[in-house]
Amino acid sequence: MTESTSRAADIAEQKRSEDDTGRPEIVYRWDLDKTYVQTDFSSVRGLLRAATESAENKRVVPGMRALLTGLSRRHRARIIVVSGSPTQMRERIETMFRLHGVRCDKLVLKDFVGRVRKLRSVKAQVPYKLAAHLDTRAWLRAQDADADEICFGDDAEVDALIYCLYTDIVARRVDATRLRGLLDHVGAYDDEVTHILSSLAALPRQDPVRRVFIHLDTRSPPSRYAAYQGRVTATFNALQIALSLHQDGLAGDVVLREVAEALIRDFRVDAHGLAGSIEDATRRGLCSVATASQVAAEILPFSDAAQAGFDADFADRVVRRLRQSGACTPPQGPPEPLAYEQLFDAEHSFALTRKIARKAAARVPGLRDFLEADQR
Amino acid sequence: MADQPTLVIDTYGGSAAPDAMVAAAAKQSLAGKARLLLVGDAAELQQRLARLSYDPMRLRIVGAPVAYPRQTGDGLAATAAAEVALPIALALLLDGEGDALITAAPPGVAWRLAGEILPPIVPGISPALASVVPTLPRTSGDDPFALLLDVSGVAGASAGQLIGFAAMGAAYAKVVSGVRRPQVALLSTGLSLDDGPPAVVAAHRALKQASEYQFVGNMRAVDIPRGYADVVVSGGYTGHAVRGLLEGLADLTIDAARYAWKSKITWRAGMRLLSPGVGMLKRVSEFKEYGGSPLLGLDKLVLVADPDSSEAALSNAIRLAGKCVRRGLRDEVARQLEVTRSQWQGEQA
Repeated sequence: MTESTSRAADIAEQKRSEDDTGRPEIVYRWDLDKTYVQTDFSSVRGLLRAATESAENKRVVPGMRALLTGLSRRHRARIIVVSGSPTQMRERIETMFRLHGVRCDKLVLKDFVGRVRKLRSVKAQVPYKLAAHLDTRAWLRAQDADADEICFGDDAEVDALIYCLYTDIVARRVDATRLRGLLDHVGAYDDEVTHILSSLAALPRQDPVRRVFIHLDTRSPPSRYAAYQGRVTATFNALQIALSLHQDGLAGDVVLREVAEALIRDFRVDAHGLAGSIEDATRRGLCSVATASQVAAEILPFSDAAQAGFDADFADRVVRRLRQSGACTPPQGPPEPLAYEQLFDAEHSFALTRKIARKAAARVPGLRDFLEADQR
Repeated sequence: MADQPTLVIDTYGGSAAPDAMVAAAAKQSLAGKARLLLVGDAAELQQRLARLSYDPMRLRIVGAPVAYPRQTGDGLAATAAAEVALPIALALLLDGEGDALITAAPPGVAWRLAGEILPPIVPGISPALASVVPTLPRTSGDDPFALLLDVSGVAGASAGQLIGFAAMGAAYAKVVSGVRRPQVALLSTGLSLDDGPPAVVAAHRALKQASEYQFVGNMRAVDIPRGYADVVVSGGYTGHAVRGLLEGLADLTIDAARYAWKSKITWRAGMRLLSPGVGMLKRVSEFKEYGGSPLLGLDKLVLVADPDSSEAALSNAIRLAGKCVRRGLRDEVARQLEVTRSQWQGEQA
């Protein structure tokens, strides 16, 4: 048997073991734009492109295709996608998932036509997504799948807030009165409030969300999520998510290897890029030094990462540095309801400030700025 | 990301350490043109990074067992930290993990430690600290800055060292400024061959044979800003004094412009009318923000930034180091030195 056929057999065996139906059921709840698909909503051209590009041409966030494909391979995993994209794109999105080998169990899209008379509702994310999450939770119950959930979103909108709020209302840490006030605060229409409250009333008290991953697509500083009291895991790329899931026993060696290989093959990431991601994940408490060291020493040098420079010598140096720098422990403790009104306002002003800063960065600093500076 | 330079960054140097350097490195990691290795206290660096936008695929941390000076401007603490951290950073270059080092450590300490740890690019060559100086537009190219070297503060350069400095400066002007045939001058007291100390006179005689660049003879300090040469060669002590004087003059000019801007509304209106010309002053002030002084003549590039550098200046230093590596400065300096050495030996034979 040649080395390559032996390795292929090895991977097939590992894939079979990861398909094991003995594991508890788990639900992966995904956002689509900027979490899985690379979308540019900041320009008219980007919007047009998102609306018109074919399923084959959709660009995926680096490594996410390999990650979601790997996660959906498990029989006892359910994949739910809740997106703010219009319902008219359903066929294209379903085709894209089929092409990517991703099993999507439930796809929820936004009905823009039905909201045409409610301008606030066209743009608002909180009422729409909260209702969609509650409805899909009810759908899961109807399927007899009251499983734990892992949520995936991004930093472009308020995904972190929505997922945390969803968690707190299902767990009844936030009661109906407070929820109503909060929905008023974010500009929800009365019928949306009624729908959300009735959907919630139909669900039993549960605490299903185990982790919320927020992909830092727009390069927000990780400290933006400090106000979420450790309930949000901010990640820079798919490898960091895979590492965290690996530590939690939800992603096996094969998924990790496939994500790393996809980053190398499709996105020209090299050994330094992989090492930097692993070290950063460890320092920020996404995984332990032991997990990171095991991945660095026992998985990556035996994958295509070796050809990209992640060989045994390089792995030794990475492991040495991981042990030197240590890891931080993210805050733990029983979840407390967050100050959602303040969080929503803070997220809103963050988005506004970022927009202004981007515009300012586009223009050259003027002579006035220069002359009025007290200190260079 | 393959084929990108790996830049080692010492986060201890500078009066705003480590904040300014970390902010500059985070910003440059997003630019995606180089891999960055930050040397410093890992926990402190991570705490600062968490407040910034950065790309962990291009920014890694190498831990160093020394705390940051607690007080801004504590020179003794800064030197003590540099004595521990710089050897770690330089060892990364020596081990082949990095292509260049950026530091804002006290220049004397950086010069000494780099010279002790890194081998010379060509055996027997003395390293030189170079600095850019603003000039009037020159005929040779668009670069608003000429290069002055050596500015290390070390006294007593020999003729051989001055010739080496000329070769290294010419290589830098070719590679970084894109000047095809740089004009090189010797800083002296007068324009004729016999002006200046014996080492300068001897160097002048030898440099007349240079073929790789155009030796334009002696130059007085007063002519440096006039842009008569792309590279000005001097001993370390003289160069250091000249650079300091130019910095002081630049500060004075800018302060005068700011005073005029703030003092009277009519002066402010007048300056608005003169704004294109006042823009020239802005350029003068920017030479301190150029990035850093390249330490040439060692096997790897060391870029020494001013200890008072702002985040913008350090950001420029990182970009400059990347540019030097990408354009092959090291190999060009080595080639230029070999050519000069063979010419020098041929002449002596």
